[in-house]
Amino acid sequence: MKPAPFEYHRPETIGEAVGLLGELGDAAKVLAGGQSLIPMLALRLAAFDHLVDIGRIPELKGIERRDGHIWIGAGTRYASVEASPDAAAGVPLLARATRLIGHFQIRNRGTVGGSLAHADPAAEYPAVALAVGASMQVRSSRGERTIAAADFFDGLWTTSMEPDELLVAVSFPSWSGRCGFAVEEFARRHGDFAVAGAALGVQLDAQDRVTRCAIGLIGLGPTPERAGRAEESVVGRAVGEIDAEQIGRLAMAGLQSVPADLQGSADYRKRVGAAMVARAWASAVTEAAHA
Amino acid sequence: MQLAADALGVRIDDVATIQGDTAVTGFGAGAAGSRSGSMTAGAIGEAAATLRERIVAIAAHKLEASQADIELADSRASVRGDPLAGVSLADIAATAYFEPASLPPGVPAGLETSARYTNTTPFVWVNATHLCTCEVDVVTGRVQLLRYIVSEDCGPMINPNVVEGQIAGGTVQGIGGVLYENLVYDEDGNPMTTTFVDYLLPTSTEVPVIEYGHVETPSPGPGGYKGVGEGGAIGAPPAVVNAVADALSPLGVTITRLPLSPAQVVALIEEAGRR
Repeated sequence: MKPAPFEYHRPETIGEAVGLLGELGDAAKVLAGGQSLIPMLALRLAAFDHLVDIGRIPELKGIERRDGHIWIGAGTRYASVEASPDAAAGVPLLARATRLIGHFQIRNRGTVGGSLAHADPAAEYPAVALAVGASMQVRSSRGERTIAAADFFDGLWTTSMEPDELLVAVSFPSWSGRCGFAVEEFARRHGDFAVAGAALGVQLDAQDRVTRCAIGLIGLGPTPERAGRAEESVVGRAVGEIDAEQIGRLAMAGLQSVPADLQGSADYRKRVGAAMVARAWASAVTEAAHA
Repeated sequence: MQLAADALGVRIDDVATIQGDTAVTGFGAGAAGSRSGSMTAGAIGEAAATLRERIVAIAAHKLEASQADIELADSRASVRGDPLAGVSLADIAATAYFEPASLPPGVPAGLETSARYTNTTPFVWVNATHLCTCEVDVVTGRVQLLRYIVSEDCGPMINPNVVEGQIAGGTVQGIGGVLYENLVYDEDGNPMTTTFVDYLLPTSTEVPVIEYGHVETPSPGPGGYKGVGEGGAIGAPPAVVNAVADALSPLGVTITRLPLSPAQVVALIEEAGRR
């Protein structure tokens, strides 16, 4: 199928882009790598009168190690994150999630900002952003503001950004100390949307006690979810006395609207989700213990 | 193509085939029963024999040699023992079409013929055996195929590459039918699997390396050839299903439905646990 007709705009600066978004409002959609938007337009799941292509704006690209965090321009492609030693060292969870995104060709085109702004609950970056507490830098002709990841994802494919706002960059805090990270997800085939998954970070003190734990859940609700109860249940405890499967079960306990689709029921998803949390925990803790 | 080139001693690049175009081909009931290889070989054999006889007769006449000494190779006719004495197939064709007066007595103008093959032996069966091993994750229900071996007997292989390609294609289709492909409809009969996002086909990352074992027992038919189209797709489903059934047998699982999607495998395991 072909998309419904639209007018194509290609601004060359952020200022020009937000000017267009301010002027066109709801009728416009930002086009970044197009790996989700274009198929949705082609299948007529979405239609917009205007597309604002931000692919040629140099200010939107780049990965920089800054004080305590990694700054990534919203237009940076997945493949650039995959190849960045700064991203791998500063936010291991992000680097490890990247290789699970679609296929090689998709990673060459899709962007960090595109994934976050599209807010697909089955995507990897939203769950990572939520788990590590990333902050989104958004701009409009009215000014700039920062939105915490916890306040960013509103619902399925919906964020708290206004129609005239553009996501320009994301800051991912770096963890320090004895840390371990793991992303585990289950998809029918390599590159398919995950049935369920977990992005997990853990920090230990010198006595192998958990000082910090963050769990982002993939594909287990209308938005990426944070497994708060499971996180709290482990902080302060010695690693040796924590049961991985119990964390998995706890992580699923509070979930309200787990989706069901052709790949399985909500119960099946929770079963898989619990296993992904447990496996991510086992792997992250092993890494942290050896750090 | 390869059979026609071999039968006439012409370069494979000089052979063009038309297959399955009902506007120009004769009546046929389609490809079925792994008979295409045998039937095609028979038809090519008969047509080529007629043409070859004419080509040799014209060449012998032009080269003033005995028909028994004419050799056909590389789209040329030459005289055995005298490599310099030869004539190209193009020149032979030019004579056949444009200089009928130069043809030897009794040889008709033109270089065309058509032939049909009727099999004289009742059945030409292809045989194949599939063997696979798998691992099942009993938590997620994922089936991972670890090793896959197909041994087939299609008689002498005309082209081993094509034989292996046919087997791989059929095998992967069989794997797809067991583990992935599923047409789903809602209660009102609307199709739910309308794109390849929902209708899953196995891709190269889901399929293990297929190992081949070739057994070549000639059939009584032309060239000893048998078909190879069916040995792949027919053998794969029972092999994969039986591998999964074997893996799950300690849990008391009986497989009754396909496809064996991860959710379905989990449902079967849970069902067995309740019994």
